[in-house]
Amino acid sequence: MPYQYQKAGPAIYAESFAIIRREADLARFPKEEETVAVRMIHAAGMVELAQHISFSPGMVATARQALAKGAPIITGVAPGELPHRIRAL
Amino acid sequence: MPYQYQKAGPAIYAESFAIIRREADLARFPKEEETVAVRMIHAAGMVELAQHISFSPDMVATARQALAKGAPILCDTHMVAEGITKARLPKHNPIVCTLRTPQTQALAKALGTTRSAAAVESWRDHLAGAVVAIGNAPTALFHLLDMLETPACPRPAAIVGCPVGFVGALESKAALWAAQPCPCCIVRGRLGGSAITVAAVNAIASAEE
Repeated sequence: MPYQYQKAGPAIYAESFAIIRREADLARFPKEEETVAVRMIHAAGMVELAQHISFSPGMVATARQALAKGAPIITGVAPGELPHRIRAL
Repeated sequence: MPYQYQKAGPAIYAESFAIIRREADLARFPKEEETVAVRMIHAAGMVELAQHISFSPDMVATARQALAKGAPILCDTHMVAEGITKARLPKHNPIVCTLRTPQTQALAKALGTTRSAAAVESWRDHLAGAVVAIGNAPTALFHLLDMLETPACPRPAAIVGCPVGFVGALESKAALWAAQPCPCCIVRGRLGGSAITVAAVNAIASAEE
């Protein structure tokens, strides 16, 4: 008897985000920051993460505009990452 | 005036592990499992993770022996695959992630499932004696469990099963724990994720902290 579970990717996201919005306290976030917080909580699997997240004013709009202009994304290095995988600027 | 902070990698690890051992309740873990739990907590930044971690008996020794024999590590995400510290692997073990292959995309459509689950379908040829690391997708773990329901399906040596999130994560890990198709390690409930999963793999890969 095969396991019964949600197999549709978009439905999984939609259900997850709905659960997060039901359970997490997101009232203090502006609209754009709220969607970022929801996705961070989704990655953490923990609605209590909400209380630890802070954005400076206009952060999401600013970062989004930068990306829209083609800004590079500079990240910390994953533990196992090898130097040759890091794109030279 | 520059910021003052610890810049020595080994000292950062040593301090972190010491804090974890001071604050986390690790008493119920056997010695080998304890070092794995410590590294998982380190990745999560949360000592309370300890209470959610479960190992089947001798999971760490079994997975470590498999790696020592050159077993591949089958990963559900590239985040897990990238996070593996190659220097800790005993046999330059192959790291496999089939998420972005063209056949995975096609297979997901054909099977009516997620790409993550379809990617697991492509593991069949590598599965015997492998170490499986699922850190993101409950559908990948469920699909693997369905495959292992068939006795003819090759058995992995061990499974790190730590998918994260709100839809199916808790259920998939409970199903793994109930089925125990091989020795496994889980984080119960919603917590999990690629960072915690790869931390477990890195800890298993080498007994050295």
